[in-house]
Amino acid sequence: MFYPLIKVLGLTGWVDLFNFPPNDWQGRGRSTVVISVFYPDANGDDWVSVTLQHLRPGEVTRIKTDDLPDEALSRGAAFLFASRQQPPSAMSELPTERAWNSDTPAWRATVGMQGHSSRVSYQGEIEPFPLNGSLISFHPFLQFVGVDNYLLTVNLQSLPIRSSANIEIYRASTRDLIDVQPVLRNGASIIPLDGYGFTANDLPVFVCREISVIPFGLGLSQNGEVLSLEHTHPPASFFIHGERWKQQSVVKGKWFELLGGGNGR
Amino acid sequence: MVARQALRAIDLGRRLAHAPHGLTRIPNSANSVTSDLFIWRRDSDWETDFELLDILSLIDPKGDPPERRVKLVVFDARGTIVADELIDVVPNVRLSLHLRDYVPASAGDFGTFACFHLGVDPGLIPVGTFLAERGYCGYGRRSEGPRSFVHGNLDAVAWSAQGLELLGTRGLVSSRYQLQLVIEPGALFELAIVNPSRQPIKVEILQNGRDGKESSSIRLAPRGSCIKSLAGGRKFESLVSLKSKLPMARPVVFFTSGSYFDVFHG
Repeated sequence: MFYPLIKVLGLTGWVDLFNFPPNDWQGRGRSTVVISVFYPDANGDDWVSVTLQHLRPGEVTRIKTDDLPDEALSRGAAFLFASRQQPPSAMSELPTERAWNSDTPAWRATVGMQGHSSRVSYQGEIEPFPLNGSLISFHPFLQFVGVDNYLLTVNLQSLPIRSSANIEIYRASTRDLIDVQPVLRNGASIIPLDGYGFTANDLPVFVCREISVIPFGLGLSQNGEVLSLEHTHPPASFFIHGERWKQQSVVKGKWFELLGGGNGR
Repeated sequence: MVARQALRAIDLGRRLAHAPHGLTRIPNSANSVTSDLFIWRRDSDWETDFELLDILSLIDPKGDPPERRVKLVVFDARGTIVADELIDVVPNVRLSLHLRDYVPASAGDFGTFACFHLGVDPGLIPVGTFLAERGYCGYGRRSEGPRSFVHGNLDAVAWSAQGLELLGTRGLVSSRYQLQLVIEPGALFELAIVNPSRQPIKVEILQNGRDGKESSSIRLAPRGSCIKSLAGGRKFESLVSLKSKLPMARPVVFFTSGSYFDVFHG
Protein backbone atom coordinates (compact mmCIF):
# COMPACT_ATOMS: atom_id res chain seq x y z
CA MET A 1 0.00 0.00 0.00
CA PHE A 2 1.02 3.57 -0.69
CA TYR A 3 -0.52 6.63 0.89
CA PRO A 4 -0.83 9.91 -1.03
CA LEU A 5 0.41 13.10 0.55
CA ILE A 6 -1.41 15.76 -1.42
CA LYS A 7 -0.56 19.44 -1.84
CA VAL A 8 -2.96 21.38 -4.05
CA LEU A 9 -4.64 24.79 -4.01
CA GLY A 10 -2.30 26.04 -1.29
CA LEU A 11 -3.68 23.55 1.23
CA THR A 12 -1.38 21.67 3.57
CA GLY A 13 -1.56 17.94 3.11
CA TRP A 14 -1.09 15.44 5.90
CA VAL A 15 -1.21 11.71 6.42
CA ASP A 16 -1.56 9.82 9.71
CA LEU A 17 0.13 6.41 9.47
CA PHE A 18 -0.60 3.58 11.90
CA ASN A 19 1.71 0.67 12.58
CA PHE A 20 -1.07 -1.58 13.77
CA PRO A 21 -3.69 -3.40 11.71
CA PRO A 22 -7.34 -2.36 11.38
CA ASN A 23 -8.55 -5.61 12.94
CA ASP A 24 -7.33 -8.18 15.44
CA TRP A 25 -7.22 -11.15 13.12
CA GLN A 26 -5.10 -10.03 10.17
CA GLY A 27 -1.80 -8.23 9.73
CA ARG A 28 0.76 -10.79 10.84
CA GLY A 29 4.41 -9.98 11.45
CA ARG A 30 4.21 -6.74 13.36
CA SER A 31 7.61 -5.11 13.35
CA THR A 32 9.27 -1.75 13.15
CA VAL A 33 8.85 -0.32 9.66
CA VAL A 34 10.70 2.28 7.66
CA ILE A 35 8.52 5.13 6.40
CA SER A 36 9.72 6.50 3.06
CA VAL A 37 8.35 8.89 0.52
CA PHE A 38 8.50 8.15 -3.22
CA TYR A 39 8.32 10.58 -6.12
CA PRO A 40 9.55 10.49 -9.75
CA ASP A 41 12.90 12.13 -10.45
CA ALA A 42 13.16 15.16 -12.74
CA ASN A 43 13.73 13.06 -15.86
CA GLY A 44 11.21 10.35 -15.13
CA ASP A 45 13.97 7.75 -15.07
CA ASP A 46 13.74 6.59 -11.47
CA TRP A 47 11.65 6.79 -8.36
CA VAL A 48 13.41 8.83 -5.70
CA SER A 49 13.02 7.33 -2.25
CA VAL A 50 13.69 9.39 0.87
CA THR A 51 13.57 7.73 4.28
CA LEU A 52 11.60 9.84 6.73
CA GLN A 53 11.50 7.86 9.94
CA HIS A 54 11.04 4.52 11.65
CA LEU A 55 7.73 3.52 13.15
CA ARG A 56 7.61 0.91 15.90
CA PRO A 57 4.69 -1.51 16.38
CA GLY A 58 1.69 0.30 17.79
CA GLU A 59 2.99 3.76 16.94
CA VAL A 60 1.24 6.50 14.98
CA THR A 61 2.86 9.33 13.08
CA ARG A 62 1.65 12.37 11.17
CA ILE A 63 3.59 13.45 8.10
CA LYS A 64 2.83 16.81 6.50
CA THR A 65 3.64 18.24 3.13
CA ASP A 66 5.71 20.84 4.99
CA ASP A 67 8.01 17.99 6.08
CA LEU A 68 9.01 17.22 2.48
CA PRO A 69 11.35 18.98 0.06
CA ASP A 70 9.59 21.03 -2.64
CA GLU A 71 10.81 18.70 -5.38
CA ALA A 72 8.91 15.81 -3.80
CA LEU A 73 5.63 17.66 -4.31
CA SER A 74 6.25 19.15 -7.73
CA ARG A 75 3.48 16.92 -9.12
CA GLY A 76 0.93 17.74 -6.42
CA ALA A 77 1.43 14.51 -4.52
CA ALA A 78 4.12 12.25 -3.17
CA PHE A 79 3.54 8.71 -1.96
CA LEU A 80 4.33 7.35 1.49
CA PHE A 81 5.34 3.73 1.89
CA ALA A 82 6.09 1.37 4.78
CA SER A 83 8.73 -1.32 4.42
CA ARG A 84 10.71 -3.60 6.70
CA GLN A 85 14.02 -2.60 5.12
CA GLN A 86 15.17 0.81 3.94
CA PRO A 87 14.49 0.98 0.20
CA PRO A 88 17.22 2.03 -2.25
CA SER A 89 17.38 5.78 -2.85
CA ALA A 90 16.61 5.28 -6.54
CA MET A 91 14.42 2.56 -8.02
CA SER A 92 13.29 1.96 -11.59
CA GLU A 93 9.96 0.58 -10.36
CA LEU A 94 7.97 0.93 -7.17
CA PRO A 95 8.64 -1.78 -4.58
CA THR A 96 6.21 -4.68 -4.43
CA GLU A 97 6.87 -5.71 -0.83
CA ARG A 98 3.96 -5.08 1.52
CA ALA A 99 4.89 -4.73 5.18
CA TRP A 100 1.29 -3.88 6.01
CA ASN A 101 -1.33 -6.33 4.82
CA SER A 102 -4.98 -6.78 5.63
CA ASP A 103 -8.08 -6.95 3.49
CA THR A 104 -11.04 -6.66 5.87
CA PRO A 105 -10.59 -3.76 5.57
CA ALA A 106 -7.45 -2.69 3.74
CA TRP A 107 -4.72 -1.19 5.91
CA ARG A 108 -5.57 2.47 5.66
CA ALA A 109 -4.22 5.82 6.70
CA THR A 110 -5.97 9.08 7.41
CA VAL A 111 -5.27 11.23 4.36
CA GLY A 112 -6.14 14.87 4.83
CA MET A 113 -5.77 18.47 3.76
CA GLN A 114 -6.23 21.62 5.76
CA GLY A 115 -6.64 25.29 5.08
CA HIS A 116 -6.64 28.28 7.38
CA SER A 117 -9.85 27.43 9.20
CA SER A 118 -11.00 23.98 8.17
CA ARG A 119 -9.75 20.59 7.21
CA VAL A 120 -10.91 17.40 5.52
CA SER A 121 -9.81 13.79 5.52
CA TYR A 122 -10.64 10.33 4.27
CA GLN A 123 -9.47 6.83 5.13
CA GLY A 124 -7.44 5.80 2.14
CA GLU A 125 -4.64 4.05 0.42
CA ILE A 126 -3.56 3.56 -3.17
CA GLU A 127 -2.03 0.64 -5.03
CA PRO A 128 -0.25 1.39 -8.32
CA PHE A 129 -2.63 1.35 -11.27
CA PRO A 130 -1.80 -0.57 -14.47
CA LEU A 131 0.15 1.49 -17.00
CA ASN A 132 -2.80 1.42 -19.38
CA GLY A 133 -6.14 1.89 -17.69
CA SER A 134 -9.28 3.93 -18.01
CA LEU A 135 -11.79 5.83 -15.94
CA ILE A 136 -15.44 6.75 -15.96
CA SER A 137 -16.73 8.74 -13.02
CA PHE A 138 -20.24 10.04 -12.39
CA HIS A 139 -19.79 13.05 -10.15
CA PRO A 140 -22.71 14.21 -7.94
CA PHE A 141 -20.62 16.42 -5.64
CA LEU A 142 -21.10 19.91 -7.08
CA GLN A 143 -22.33 22.43 -4.52
CA PHE A 144 -23.90 25.81 -5.23
CA VAL A 145 -23.91 27.42 -1.80
CA GLY A 146 -20.69 29.37 -1.50
CA VAL A 147 -18.46 26.44 -2.36
CA ASP A 148 -15.65 26.29 -4.91
CA ASN A 149 -15.84 22.92 -6.67
CA TYR A 150 -12.92 20.96 -8.06
CA LEU A 151 -12.13 17.55 -9.49
CA LEU A 152 -9.03 16.21 -7.78
CA THR A 153 -7.34 13.22 -9.41
CA VAL A 154 -4.59 11.03 -7.99
CA ASN A 155 -2.66 8.56 -10.10
CA LEU A 156 0.15 6.19 -9.19
CA GLN A 157 1.87 3.74 -11.53
CA SER A 158 4.79 1.41 -10.99
CA LEU A 159 7.04 3.23 -13.48
CA PRO A 160 8.22 6.80 -12.70
CA ILE A 161 6.53 8.35 -15.74
CA ARG A 162 6.11 12.14 -15.67
CA SER A 163 3.75 12.63 -18.58
CA SER A 164 0.05 13.46 -18.43
CA ALA A 165 -3.14 11.99 -19.83
CA ASN A 166 -6.39 13.65 -20.86
CA ILE A 167 -9.68 13.68 -19.01
CA GLU A 168 -12.83 14.44 -20.98
CA ILE A 169 -15.66 16.27 -19.26
CA TYR A 170 -19.26 15.61 -20.26
CA ARG A 171 -22.78 16.36 -19.07
CA ALA A 172 -24.54 12.98 -18.64
CA SER A 173 -27.92 14.16 -19.88
CA THR A 174 -26.73 15.63 -23.18
CA ARG A 175 -23.47 13.68 -23.57
CA ASP A 176 -21.86 16.80 -25.03
CA LEU A 177 -18.10 17.01 -24.71
CA ILE A 178 -17.54 20.12 -22.62
CA ASP A 179 -13.79 20.17 -22.18
CA VAL A 180 -10.61 18.15 -22.17
CA GLN A 181 -8.06 18.70 -19.41
CA PRO A 182 -4.68 17.13 -18.66
CA VAL A 183 -4.11 15.10 -15.51
CA LEU A 184 -0.76 13.96 -14.23
CA ARG A 185 0.54 10.43 -14.05
CA ASN A 186 2.16 9.76 -10.68
CA GLY A 187 0.75 12.89 -9.12
CA ALA A 188 -2.33 14.89 -8.22
CA SER A 189 -4.21 17.27 -10.52
CA ILE A 190 -6.88 19.86 -9.90
CA ILE A 191 -9.59 20.83 -12.38
CA PRO A 192 -11.88 23.74 -11.37
CA LEU A 193 -15.48 22.85 -12.22
CA ASP A 194 -17.37 26.07 -11.59
CA GLY A 195 -16.72 27.55 -15.00
CA TYR A 196 -18.56 24.91 -17.01
CA GLY A 197 -22.09 26.07 -16.28
CA PHE A 198 -23.26 22.93 -14.54
CA THR A 199 -26.57 23.28 -12.72
CA ALA A 200 -27.85 21.54 -9.59
CA ASN A 201 -29.45 18.70 -11.56
CA ASP A 202 -26.53 18.14 -13.89
CA LEU A 203 -24.48 15.00 -13.49
CA PRO A 204 -20.95 15.62 -14.75
CA VAL A 205 -19.16 12.63 -16.26
CA PHE A 206 -15.38 12.34 -16.39
CA VAL A 207 -13.76 9.95 -18.84
CA CYS A 208 -10.13 9.02 -19.26
CA ARG A 209 -9.22 6.49 -21.92
CA GLU A 210 -5.51 6.30 -21.08
CA ILE A 211 -5.04 5.80 -17.35
CA SER A 212 -6.94 5.10 -14.15
CA VAL A 213 -7.11 7.70 -11.42
CA ILE A 214 -8.89 8.09 -8.11
CA PRO A 215 -11.44 10.84 -8.82
CA PHE A 216 -12.31 13.03 -5.84
CA GLY A 217 -14.80 15.79 -5.49
CA LEU A 218 -13.08 18.57 -3.56
CA GLY A 219 -15.23 21.40 -2.27
CA LEU A 220 -13.84 24.46 -0.52
CA SER A 221 -16.42 26.46 1.35
CA GLN A 222 -15.80 30.16 0.82
CA ASN A 223 -16.54 30.89 4.48
CA GLY A 224 -13.98 28.33 5.65
CA GLU A 225 -16.62 26.24 7.39
CA VAL A 226 -16.01 23.01 5.54
CA LEU A 227 -13.84 21.31 3.05
CA SER A 228 -15.45 18.33 1.35
CA LEU A 229 -13.44 15.49 -0.10
CA GLU A 230 -14.90 12.23 -1.33
CA HIS A 231 -14.14 9.92 -4.20
CA THR A 232 -16.68 8.44 -6.55
CA HIS A 233 -17.04 4.69 -6.86
CA PRO A 234 -16.08 2.83 -10.03
CA PRO A 235 -19.01 1.30 -11.94
CA ALA A 236 -18.39 -2.08 -10.27
CA SER A 237 -19.98 -0.53 -7.19
CA PHE A 238 -23.35 -0.63 -8.98
CA PHE A 239 -23.23 -4.39 -8.47
CA ILE A 240 -22.66 -6.91 -5.75
CA HIS A 241 -21.68 -10.58 -5.95
CA GLY A 242 -21.18 -12.57 -9.13
CA GLU A 243 -19.64 -10.86 -12.15
CA ARG A 244 -19.43 -7.34 -10.77
CA TRP A 245 -15.99 -6.58 -12.27
CA LYS A 246 -16.99 -7.98 -15.62
CA GLN A 247 -20.04 -5.75 -15.48
CA GLN A 248 -17.78 -2.76 -14.85
CA SER A 249 -16.11 -3.42 -18.20
CA VAL A 250 -19.50 -3.69 -19.85
CA VAL A 251 -20.65 -0.34 -18.41
CA LYS A 252 -17.43 1.40 -19.39
CA GLY A 253 -17.63 -0.04 -22.88
CA LYS A 254 -21.18 1.25 -23.39
CA TRP A 255 -20.34 4.76 -22.23
CA PHE A 256 -17.06 4.97 -24.11
CA GLU A 257 -18.82 3.95 -27.32
CA LEU A 258 -21.69 6.34 -26.69
CA LEU A 259 -19.41 9.26 -25.98
CA GLY A 260 -17.30 8.55 -29.05
CA GLY A 261 -13.71 9.52 -29.49
CA GLY A 262 -10.72 7.33 -30.00
CA ASN A 263 -8.34 5.88 -27.51
CA GLY A 264 -5.95 8.37 -26.02
CA ARG A 265 -7.44 11.53 -27.42
CA MET B 1 7.36 -24.78 3.33
CA VAL B 2 5.71 -26.39 6.31
CA ALA B 3 5.79 -23.10 8.19
CA ARG B 4 4.11 -21.30 5.28
CA GLN B 5 1.38 -23.92 5.10
CA ALA B 6 0.86 -23.63 8.84
CA LEU B 7 0.50 -19.85 8.58
CA ARG B 8 -2.01 -20.21 5.75
CA ALA B 9 -3.99 -22.67 7.86
CA ILE B 10 -3.98 -20.18 10.73
CA ASP B 11 -5.17 -17.42 8.39
CA LEU B 12 -7.96 -19.61 7.08
CA GLY B 13 -8.98 -20.60 10.59
CA ARG B 14 -9.14 -16.96 11.67
CA ARG B 15 -11.20 -16.02 8.66
CA LEU B 16 -13.64 -18.85 9.31
CA ALA B 17 -13.99 -17.75 12.92
CA HIS B 18 -14.33 -14.01 12.29
CA ALA B 19 -16.12 -13.90 8.94
CA PRO B 20 -17.44 -17.38 8.12
CA HIS B 21 -19.94 -16.02 5.60
CA GLY B 22 -17.81 -13.20 4.23
CA LEU B 23 -19.11 -9.68 4.77
CA THR B 24 -22.34 -9.83 2.78
CA ARG B 25 -24.85 -12.64 2.33
CA ILE B 26 -26.22 -13.52 -1.09
CA PRO B 27 -29.87 -12.40 -1.23
CA ASN B 28 -32.43 -15.19 -1.24
CA SER B 29 -34.27 -13.95 -4.30
CA ALA B 30 -32.59 -13.69 -7.68
CA ASN B 31 -34.66 -10.55 -8.29
CA SER B 32 -33.44 -8.69 -5.22
CA VAL B 33 -31.91 -5.24 -5.34
CA THR B 34 -29.64 -4.11 -2.52
CA SER B 35 -28.74 -0.94 -0.68
CA ASP B 36 -26.52 0.41 2.04
CA LEU B 37 -28.19 1.41 5.29
CA PHE B 38 -27.20 5.07 5.09
CA ILE B 39 -27.17 7.21 8.21
CA TRP B 40 -29.56 10.16 8.34
CA ARG B 41 -29.29 12.93 10.93
CA ARG B 42 -31.90 15.58 11.42
CA ASP B 43 -31.67 17.73 14.48
CA SER B 44 -30.79 21.29 15.42
CA ASP B 45 -27.22 20.73 14.22
CA TRP B 46 -27.37 18.37 11.24
CA GLU B 47 -29.07 17.98 7.90
CA THR B 48 -28.76 15.05 5.51
CA ASP B 49 -29.04 14.90 1.73
CA PHE B 50 -28.75 11.90 -0.54
CA GLU B 51 -27.57 12.20 -4.13
CA LEU B 52 -30.00 9.93 -5.95
CA LEU B 53 -28.93 8.81 -9.41
CA ASP B 54 -30.83 6.53 -11.76
CA ILE B 55 -28.28 3.75 -11.61
CA LEU B 56 -30.06 1.71 -14.26
CA SER B 57 -29.58 4.45 -16.83
CA LEU B 58 -25.91 4.63 -15.90
CA ILE B 59 -25.57 0.88 -16.37
CA ASP B 60 -27.41 0.92 -19.68
CA PRO B 61 -27.12 4.41 -21.19
CA LYS B 62 -28.34 3.47 -24.65
CA GLY B 63 -31.89 3.56 -25.86
CA ASP B 64 -34.96 5.22 -24.47
CA PRO B 65 -35.31 4.24 -20.81
CA PRO B 66 -38.75 3.66 -19.29
CA GLU B 67 -39.99 5.70 -16.37
CA ARG B 68 -38.39 4.36 -13.26
CA ARG B 69 -38.87 4.64 -9.54
CA VAL B 70 -36.81 4.18 -6.43
CA LYS B 71 -38.25 2.81 -3.21
CA LEU B 72 -36.99 4.88 -0.29
CA VAL B 73 -37.33 3.14 3.09
CA VAL B 74 -36.51 5.11 6.22
CA PHE B 75 -35.78 3.45 9.57
CA ASP B 76 -35.56 4.96 13.01
CA ALA B 77 -32.70 4.17 15.40
CA ARG B 78 -34.43 0.97 16.52
CA GLY B 79 -34.71 -0.29 12.96
CA THR B 80 -38.45 0.31 12.67
CA ILE B 81 -39.74 1.47 9.30
CA VAL B 82 -40.98 5.05 9.66
CA ALA B 83 -41.39 6.00 6.01
CA ASP B 84 -41.73 4.15 2.72
CA GLU B 85 -41.95 6.26 -0.43
CA LEU B 86 -41.72 5.81 -4.17
CA ILE B 87 -39.63 8.45 -5.92
CA ASP B 88 -39.54 9.08 -9.64
CA VAL B 89 -36.05 9.24 -11.06
CA VAL B 90 -34.92 10.79 -14.31
CA PRO B 91 -32.13 9.25 -16.36
CA ASN B 92 -28.70 10.84 -16.26
CA VAL B 93 -29.47 13.67 -13.89
CA ARG B 94 -28.82 14.21 -10.22
CA LEU B 95 -31.62 14.43 -7.69
CA SER B 96 -30.66 15.68 -4.23
CA LEU B 97 -33.07 14.23 -1.68
CA HIS B 98 -33.44 16.21 1.50
CA LEU B 99 -34.08 13.53 4.11
CA ARG B 100 -35.87 16.09 6.28
CA ASP B 101 -38.70 15.95 3.71
CA TYR B 102 -39.17 12.20 4.21
CA VAL B 103 -38.47 11.55 7.89
CA PRO B 104 -41.51 11.94 10.18
CA ALA B 105 -41.09 14.37 13.06
CA SER B 106 -41.60 11.53 15.53
CA ALA B 107 -38.72 9.46 14.16
CA GLY B 108 -36.04 10.99 16.36
CA ASP B 109 -32.77 12.66 15.51
CA PHE B 110 -31.09 9.91 13.52
CA GLY B 111 -31.63 6.55 11.88
CA THR B 112 -30.92 4.89 8.56
CA PHE B 113 -32.43 4.71 5.12
CA ALA B 114 -32.16 2.53 2.05
CA CYS B 115 -32.83 3.14 -1.65
CA PHE B 116 -33.98 0.27 -3.85
CA HIS B 117 -34.00 0.75 -7.60
CA LEU B 118 -37.11 -0.81 -9.11
CA GLY B 119 -37.77 -2.04 -12.61
CA VAL B 120 -34.52 -3.83 -13.39
CA ASP B 121 -34.87 -4.97 -16.98
CA PRO B 122 -34.63 -8.74 -17.39
CA GLY B 123 -31.28 -9.63 -18.87
CA LEU B 124 -29.58 -6.38 -17.85
CA ILE B 125 -27.75 -7.94 -14.92
CA PRO B 126 -26.39 -11.52 -14.99
CA VAL B 127 -27.88 -14.15 -12.70
CA GLY B 128 -25.95 -14.16 -9.44
CA THR B 129 -25.14 -10.45 -9.61
CA PHE B 130 -27.37 -7.88 -7.91
CA LEU B 131 -27.93 -4.17 -8.32
CA ALA B 132 -26.45 -2.18 -5.40
CA GLU B 133 -27.03 1.36 -4.15
CA ARG B 134 -23.83 2.62 -2.51
CA GLY B 135 -24.35 6.26 -3.27
CA TYR B 136 -23.43 9.48 -1.61
CA CYS B 137 -24.77 11.22 1.47
CA GLY B 138 -24.11 14.89 2.07
CA TYR B 139 -24.11 16.06 5.69
CA GLY B 140 -24.35 19.72 6.63
CA ARG B 141 -25.05 22.06 9.50
CA ARG B 142 -27.76 24.21 7.89
CA SER B 143 -30.50 23.38 5.44
CA GLU B 144 -28.76 25.21 2.61
CA GLY B 145 -25.19 25.18 3.86
CA PRO B 146 -22.22 23.31 2.43
CA ARG B 147 -22.13 19.54 2.61
CA SER B 148 -19.47 17.02 3.53
CA PHE B 149 -20.01 13.99 1.28
CA VAL B 150 -19.58 10.35 2.25
CA HIS B 151 -20.01 7.35 -0.01
CA GLY B 152 -21.85 4.20 0.99
CA ASN B 153 -19.89 1.03 1.51
CA LEU B 154 -22.11 -1.29 3.49
CA ASP B 155 -24.11 -3.74 1.41
CA ALA B 156 -26.62 -4.09 4.16
CA VAL B 157 -30.12 -4.83 2.96
CA ALA B 158 -31.97 -6.33 0.02
CA TRP B 159 -35.51 -5.88 -1.20
CA SER B 160 -37.62 -8.13 -3.41
CA ALA B 161 -41.27 -9.09 -3.70
CA GLN B 162 -40.62 -11.21 -0.63
CA GLY B 163 -39.79 -8.11 1.39
CA LEU B 164 -36.71 -6.76 3.14
CA GLU B 165 -33.74 -8.98 3.91
CA LEU B 166 -30.70 -8.01 5.95
CA LEU B 167 -27.40 -9.08 4.36
CA GLY B 168 -24.87 -8.40 7.11
CA THR B 169 -23.04 -11.39 8.58
CA ARG B 170 -21.79 -12.30 12.04
CA GLY B 171 -18.65 -14.01 13.17
CA LEU B 172 -18.43 -17.00 15.45
CA VAL B 173 -16.16 -14.93 17.68
CA SER B 174 -15.92 -11.19 18.29
CA SER B 175 -13.73 -9.03 16.07
CA ARG B 176 -12.06 -5.80 16.99
CA TYR B 177 -12.28 -3.05 14.38
CA GLN B 178 -9.45 -0.67 15.10
CA LEU B 179 -10.05 2.75 13.60
CA GLN B 180 -6.90 3.99 11.89
CA LEU B 181 -7.73 7.46 13.08
CA VAL B 182 -6.30 9.75 15.75
CA ILE B 183 -8.94 11.10 18.16
CA GLU B 184 -7.76 14.61 18.92
CA PRO B 185 -8.46 16.39 22.20
CA GLY B 186 -10.72 19.41 22.05
CA ALA B 187 -12.77 18.19 19.10
CA LEU B 188 -16.05 16.31 19.03
CA PHE B 189 -15.93 12.87 17.43
CA GLU B 190 -19.19 11.00 16.97
CA LEU B 191 -19.34 7.44 15.63
CA ALA B 192 -22.41 6.28 13.71
CA ILE B 193 -22.74 2.50 13.94
CA VAL B 194 -25.29 0.30 12.13
CA ASN B 195 -26.30 -3.32 12.68
CA PRO B 196 -26.85 -4.93 9.25
CA SER B 197 -27.16 -8.42 10.72
CA ARG B 198 -30.30 -10.40 11.50
CA GLN B 199 -29.70 -10.64 15.23
CA PRO B 200 -29.18 -8.05 17.97
CA ILE B 201 -25.54 -7.22 18.57
CA LYS B 202 -23.51 -5.75 21.36
CA VAL B 203 -20.76 -3.32 20.38
CA GLU B 204 -18.04 -2.41 22.84
CA ILE B 205 -16.37 0.94 22.21
CA LEU B 206 -12.86 1.16 23.60
CA GLN B 207 -10.96 4.46 23.76
CA ASN B 208 -7.34 4.31 24.78
CA GLY B 209 -4.70 7.01 25.22
CA ARG B 210 -2.32 8.61 27.70
CA ASP B 211 -5.35 9.83 29.63
CA GLY B 212 -6.27 6.20 30.27
CA LYS B 213 -8.82 3.74 28.94
CA GLU B 214 -12.54 4.14 28.71
CA SER B 215 -15.06 1.65 27.49
CA SER B 216 -18.76 1.58 26.94
CA SER B 217 -21.14 -0.70 25.15
CA ILE B 218 -24.29 -0.39 23.14
CA ARG B 219 -26.87 -2.89 21.93
CA LEU B 220 -28.31 -2.60 18.46
CA ALA B 221 -31.39 -4.30 17.10
CA PRO B 222 -31.29 -5.61 13.53
CA ARG B 223 -31.34 -2.52 11.27
CA GLY B 224 -30.71 -0.48 14.40
CA SER B 225 -28.26 2.38 14.57
CA CYS B 226 -26.52 4.50 17.15
CA ILE B 227 -24.51 7.71 17.23
CA LYS B 228 -21.99 7.57 20.01
CA SER B 229 -20.05 10.64 21.16
CA LEU B 230 -16.54 9.85 22.26
CA ALA B 231 -15.45 11.04 25.65
CA GLY B 232 -14.53 14.70 25.84
CA GLY B 233 -12.24 16.29 28.35
CA ARG B 234 -9.16 14.36 27.32
CA LYS B 235 -5.86 16.19 27.18
CA PHE B 236 -4.08 13.81 24.87
CA GLU B 237 -4.71 12.02 21.63
CA SER B 238 -6.38 8.64 21.79
CA LEU B 239 -7.35 5.68 19.60
CA VAL B 240 -10.68 3.90 19.32
CA SER B 241 -11.72 0.37 18.49
CA LEU B 242 -15.09 -1.35 18.21
CA LYS B 243 -15.51 -4.94 19.35
CA SER B 244 -18.50 -6.97 18.19
CA LYS B 245 -19.56 -10.05 16.27
CA LEU B 246 -19.71 -7.95 13.11
CA PRO B 247 -16.71 -8.89 10.93
CA MET B 248 -16.12 -5.22 10.14
CA ALA B 249 -17.92 -2.70 12.35
CA ARG B 250 -16.86 0.32 10.33
CA PRO B 251 -18.52 3.52 11.56
CA VAL B 252 -19.18 6.83 9.87
CA VAL B 253 -17.30 9.52 11.80
CA PHE B 254 -18.72 12.99 12.42
CA PHE B 255 -15.93 15.37 13.39
CA THR B 256 -16.70 18.85 14.70
CA SER B 257 -14.20 21.44 15.86
CA GLY B 258 -15.39 24.97 16.44
CA SER B 259 -17.25 26.14 13.37
CA TYR B 260 -16.03 23.46 10.98
CA PHE B 261 -16.90 19.83 10.47
CA ASP B 262 -15.91 16.80 8.46
CA VAL B 263 -17.75 13.52 7.91
CA PHE B 264 -15.96 10.38 6.69
CA HIS B 265 -15.70 6.63 7.05
CA GLY B 266 -13.72 5.54 10.08
